[in-house]
Amino acid sequence: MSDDTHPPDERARIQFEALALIDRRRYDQARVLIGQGLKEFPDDSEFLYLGAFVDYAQDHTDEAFTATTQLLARDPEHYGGRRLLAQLHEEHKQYAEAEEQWLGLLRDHPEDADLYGFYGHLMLLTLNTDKARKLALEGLSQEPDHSHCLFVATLTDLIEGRGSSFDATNLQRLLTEHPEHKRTAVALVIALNERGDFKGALRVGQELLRSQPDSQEVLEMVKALKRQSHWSMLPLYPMQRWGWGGAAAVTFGGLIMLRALRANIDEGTYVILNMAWLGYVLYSWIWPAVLKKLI
Amino acid sequence: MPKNDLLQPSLSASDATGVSIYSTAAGYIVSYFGGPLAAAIIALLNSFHLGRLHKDWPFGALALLAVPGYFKWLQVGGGQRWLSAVIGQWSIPYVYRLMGVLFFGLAYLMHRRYYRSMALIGVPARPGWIPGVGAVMAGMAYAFLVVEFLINER
Repeated sequence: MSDDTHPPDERARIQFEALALIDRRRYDQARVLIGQGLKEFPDDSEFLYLGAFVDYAQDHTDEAFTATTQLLARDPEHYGGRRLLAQLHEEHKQYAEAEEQWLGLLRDHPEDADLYGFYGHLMLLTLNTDKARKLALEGLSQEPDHSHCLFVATLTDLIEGRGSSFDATNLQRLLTEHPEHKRTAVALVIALNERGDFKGALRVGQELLRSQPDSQEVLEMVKALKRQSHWSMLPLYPMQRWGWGGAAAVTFGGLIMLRALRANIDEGTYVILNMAWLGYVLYSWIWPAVLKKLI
Repeated sequence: MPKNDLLQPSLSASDATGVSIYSTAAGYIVSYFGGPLAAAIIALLNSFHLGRLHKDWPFGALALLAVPGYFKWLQVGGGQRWLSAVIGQWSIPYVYRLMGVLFFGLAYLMHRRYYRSMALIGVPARPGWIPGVGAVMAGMAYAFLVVEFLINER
């Protein structure tokens, strides 16, 4: 597409600069440049796409949706636009529509590891773990160190209970090949949590937050980790570490212990111990919810 | 799964906005208070949401049979005497609660992958208050009916 009123490389220059700004997360500056590009080259799909992407990156999903729909009406095969539409559907929890987009893209680009990563992630979100794993492995067969596919494969390892050791292949590969990546940090946090190393998980989460201070998702993750490793949660360690199994052990273990003690202690002490145990059970139900309001 | 199968849709219109089940906490509490049938009701509701009720329904039948089986053993088969002698009279109501929790354990094993996915990926659980209260009430009512009409009748 040529435009006589502009030097031939003007369009490429603006796009290059806008992409560089997006890469550095300078979205406001990128938006100004993209606006200029759209004004000068109103028929250029790429500017429309970049504008939609900036909207998406800044969480203006409705605007991003409108721009992407507009882009795809003009250029239905636009790869970036179709990817963005799938991501926007996911963002709006329109999972069936997102799946339709990913499947369409995969049929057209069956060797694109990125797409296997994204579709695998969607399958994870919708609890189709088996399929998520197979998609990740298919993506890894196309591109052996692909970060998103390694991330999905690591999560499926953890779900199946085989990935919390650090010599687990997929996690190890993620740590070795993409140590700086956000997904690596998230996978590491999950793996540390699984091992019961709540403080370690918090440290990794805090590091991630330092590098991505504007990420709401990371902030929420760090808050949850902070709650989990708060000193007041220490008495609830069995429940935190072993979930409902820990709760069952505490409930029935407590009951049996109290009954066993009854024959050997006086009635007053028995009542006090009973009240203490009841207090502990109530604490385990109420305190995590209170802490959630505080942190 | 051959590659072509990977490219077949897995999400139906009914789970278009996401799939999730009731939390482990909801399942545990409901099973503790409502017994085996309550545990099975929550588990089968989860199966329904996961689209695998056709596979999991025998779990409900097992719970329906386990409750009369337990009370029959307790009151007719000498279970009450045995429990009183071995653990103590106090243990009798708790054994039924323990049985509920064990049923929840089975339900957890049946749906372990989904529970773990939700916990690790951060998929929010379904709100469980209304079905939870309903399941506890149904579990208690069933135990009452079994004792009144099947055991005491004899």
